[in-house]
Amino acid sequence: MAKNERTGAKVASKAAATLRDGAASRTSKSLAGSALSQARTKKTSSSESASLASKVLNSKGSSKTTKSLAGSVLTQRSGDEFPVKSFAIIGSTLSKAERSAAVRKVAKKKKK
Amino acid sequence: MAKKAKTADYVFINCPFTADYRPLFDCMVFTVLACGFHPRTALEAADGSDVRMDKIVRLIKESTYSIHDLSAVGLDEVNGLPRFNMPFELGMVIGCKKAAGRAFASRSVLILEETPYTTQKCLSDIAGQDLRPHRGSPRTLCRIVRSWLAQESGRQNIPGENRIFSAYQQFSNQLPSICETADLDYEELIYPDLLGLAQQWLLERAKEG
Repeated sequence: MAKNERTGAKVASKAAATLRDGAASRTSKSLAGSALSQARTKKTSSSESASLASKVLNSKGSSKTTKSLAGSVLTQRSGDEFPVKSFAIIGSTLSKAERSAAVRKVAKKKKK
Repeated sequence: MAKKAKTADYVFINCPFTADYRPLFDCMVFTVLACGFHPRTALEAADGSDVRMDKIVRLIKESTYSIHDLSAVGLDEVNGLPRFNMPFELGMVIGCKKAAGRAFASRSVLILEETPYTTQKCLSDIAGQDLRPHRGSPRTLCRIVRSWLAQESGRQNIPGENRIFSAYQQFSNQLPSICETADLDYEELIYPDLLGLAQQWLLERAKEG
């Protein structure tokens, strides 16, 4: 998190209202959930939430409230995060667990 | 469980698969992944009965974006003949854009060459297209690919060039050790393993962030 940001009281209140609102869209609720989870913790936005927030900010059809939630979610994106997607790798010699173990082992050695 | 990437994330990479091109190829695959896209190449695993041309047609049909590096159109050292694969596949994509209807017209194409204006000398029909020279430099290639993806997709979560290239340098330095740890031959690393390790490296990095 670049600036140790947390969701402010005003946005948290909007997020809670959005989650209670039966007419709110799935996108708004997803962003509200993400924003609310960052109200009391230092948790950063996932790449999926950040990507959704980015799309909302670019969209002309989104409401002011949804854009406000999207702005909050993007602010809390980790400063060192890459929006890499986790898709299946076909034809790899290694399983995902084996790849992860090899990458972690080398990273741990480099840190020492 | 790994999610299936969306077609909107697919980037078809049409470039040489030779040992001398490897630093550029690895950097291109890493940059595309780091920007949040899914690189696709003719090297990916497929059904054994898949004819190469069918595979390329499928990749072109499925990919919203495509990158074509024409820097290897020179004469082959073994046969003394020019290599037509890359311009041929670029021609297929441009043909689709021009003649295959609206679904293909909006597809984005990035054409690369090593030095400015060399391609025009052997492929005059390309005049009018915006070719980008990478001068054989992975850093320049990273900048061109990253800027193009950001501009064409309009996505605002694409990291800056410095962050991507610095991460690529770290990944590239660690890759031989990662291969050794995983009992893989770095020199003979197959494309699905490169893709999987680069993806995992970036995912681990995101968790640390």
